[in-house]
Amino acid sequence: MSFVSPEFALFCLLFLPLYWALAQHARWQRGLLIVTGYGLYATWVPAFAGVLLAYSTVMWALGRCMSKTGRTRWPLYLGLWLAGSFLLSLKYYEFVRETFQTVLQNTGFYSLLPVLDVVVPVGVSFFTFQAVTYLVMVGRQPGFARSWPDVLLFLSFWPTLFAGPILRADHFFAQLDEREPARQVGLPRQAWLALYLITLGLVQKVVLASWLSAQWVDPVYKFPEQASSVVLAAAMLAYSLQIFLDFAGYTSIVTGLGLLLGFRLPVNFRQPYLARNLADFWTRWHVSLSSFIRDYIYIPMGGNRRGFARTQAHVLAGMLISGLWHGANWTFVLWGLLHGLGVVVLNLAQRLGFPAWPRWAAQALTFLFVSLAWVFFRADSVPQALRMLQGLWHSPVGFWPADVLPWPGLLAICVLVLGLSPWAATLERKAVASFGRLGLWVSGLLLSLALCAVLFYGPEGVPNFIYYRF
Amino acid sequence: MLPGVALLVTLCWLTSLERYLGVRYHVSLESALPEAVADAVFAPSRWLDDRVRAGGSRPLFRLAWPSATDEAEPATPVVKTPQPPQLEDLPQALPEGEFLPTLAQQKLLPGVQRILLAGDSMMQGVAPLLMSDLTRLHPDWEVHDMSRQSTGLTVRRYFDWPSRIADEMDAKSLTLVVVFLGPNDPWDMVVEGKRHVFPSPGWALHYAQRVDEVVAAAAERKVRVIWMGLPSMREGRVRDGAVLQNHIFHARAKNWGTDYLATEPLIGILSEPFKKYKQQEGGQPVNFRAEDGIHMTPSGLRVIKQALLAHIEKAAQP
Repeated sequence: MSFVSPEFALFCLLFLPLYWALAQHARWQRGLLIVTGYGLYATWVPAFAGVLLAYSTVMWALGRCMSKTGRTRWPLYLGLWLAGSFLLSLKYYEFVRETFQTVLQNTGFYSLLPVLDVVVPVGVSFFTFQAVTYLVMVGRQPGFARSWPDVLLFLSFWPTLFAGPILRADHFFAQLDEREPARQVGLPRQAWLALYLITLGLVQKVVLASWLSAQWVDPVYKFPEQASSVVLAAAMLAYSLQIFLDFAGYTSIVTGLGLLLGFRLPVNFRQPYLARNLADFWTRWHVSLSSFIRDYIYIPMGGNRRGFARTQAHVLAGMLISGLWHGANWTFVLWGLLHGLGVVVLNLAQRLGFPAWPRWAAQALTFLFVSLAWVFFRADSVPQALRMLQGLWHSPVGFWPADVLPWPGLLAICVLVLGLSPWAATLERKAVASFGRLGLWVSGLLLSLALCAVLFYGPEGVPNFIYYRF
Repeated sequence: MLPGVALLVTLCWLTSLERYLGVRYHVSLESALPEAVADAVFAPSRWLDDRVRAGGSRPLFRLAWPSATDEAEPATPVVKTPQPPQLEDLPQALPEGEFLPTLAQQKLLPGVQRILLAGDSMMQGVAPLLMSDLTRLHPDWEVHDMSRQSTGLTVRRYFDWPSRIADEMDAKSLTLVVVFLGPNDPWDMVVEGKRHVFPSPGWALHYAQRVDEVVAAAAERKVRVIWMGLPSMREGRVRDGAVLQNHIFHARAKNWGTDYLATEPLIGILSEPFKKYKQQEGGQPVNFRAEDGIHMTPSGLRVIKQALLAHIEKAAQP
């Protein structure tokens, strides 16, 4: 069930009052969260709920084993191996099998890897990483092992189950254990902020991202050979804006939902297109993933503690894993590699003492690099991405567009996103304060108008979130 | 406050919600409510539809054949008037391994072709690949992609394929229409207030009539039609639908002398158990199906595109 569907709106209307009514009965309230989490998960494929239940139970059992025996080494490694194998076999096996098959075909040999006919559970990349944070937490502090219902709740927490942000076990359970009444989970926290974030997310996703997708990105990526160089460049810009609005919109919605449930979710975006370099970009874009890779992959590999050359190798490996995490396709491998090489070049320039660029130039160059790299992220195949990039200087239909295109909309969204980025936090504060001042009825009316506008300007049907497929 | 916001937004957008429920769940809120209540509840959203939102009903292309209620439809001249679909028992399942074969009964007129690709998300996958090849092979041909996901022939008020295709034929002087749709259709049909349960002889009759609306409009304008059959499907309802739909597509194509392109031998045969993988010539299995058991992977789409391209090229030869 998508978070922007009428069914989900109905679910919220029925669920939230019941959830809040159980605020004084934490066990029942958490039980309700678990049941609804599994229910929502089952709306994709019912069997997935069983898979998630078994998976969570295994993770809980390993944590309990560490806690009971005090031995953490083998249960931790076994858990990491199980979680890794689960993700790799489901998500990447077919990619590996097909790659082997293609490579071997050219040499006259046949691949003996058998066909594995399985369906990948929704959100597997997200709950696998969350499970890793739980195992590592218990591995470090065996006394922190949680009960079975707590682990079920952590791995099925529905606001983040389908596309993140990736929760950290220690952060999540610290909220569950909070004893101070004002900070306890269970009742809405910063309700006006929550409603502001949900409405903002709907506008970003349903209206702006959908418009960019329908008017610019999809038509051009479908038929790149029919687009002039200028149109190809515009479509690349449009995709940069679309993926930001799509994922930031999703994150806003789930952050707002989390607040309505009384939970604070990790920050996932910090105005990424204001980044002054690629390293800075990765502290602002999909922060919960990049910080996971930093803490659980890059630093355990050695981070920057083993000399300059090894540090660059670790950066490349981390970025490659980040790319592959997004999908089993060579386009994602190249996307990750491009970002990794970009960071390595940046580190090299710093080491050689190149002077820093002026802020505006550094931001513009970073945005340009990120936008060009997005071509590999969006394209269905590497040849398609290369065709898109090649078309920038040599398109079969020329340089200038022949048709009338919706330029005003693209420019308006571009100005809106890039122009308002520096002021986003201020706008948020002012909007939330205004809601509080205007009172329940006027604010409710404003929210209704905003939602009507979302439906009016949105596309027909329920738009998909880009990150749902990861 | 939240219920108030929800109520206000719902009232303003009830007609949209009604369309959504129709497409997604094949139910109608309007039909379920007493007429007076429905009129009152739908009044605000209809007022907004008329004054704020663009749109309005489009004229539908109707055949001269009797409907299920035996009410006469307005007569429309067609060049060919083959045997109309009849109310009859549902077709028998084919023996395992058998499928309805491709029909290649028409040639394209010589000269430049103006082709429309119509259909649902399956056509959305095939269209870019086919367009790319056709524009490379025939730079003077025009190929238009009108594919749209979640559409079909069952729910007319959501997206009316017969009238849209007829409009496109006139607007673009088409010479060929390729139709590839179906998995959104195996649901009850409501025709003139009467519900026809899927699968039933009444459903099959009305579905065939909608296919005929497209083909008859094409015949009237001397536009060729290639109707693509559905490949094997994993899920029960969609699978049962594909079996019945292929019978209808095949029968109507045969009747009208148009083309039916079977995708079953390419991707998977409906009378056999569903398989995601198919052996390539070299003996290596290749995954042709997406995770949902309905759509195709890029490899599967390429196979269909290749067959469709070969079919069109053959039809274009004198």
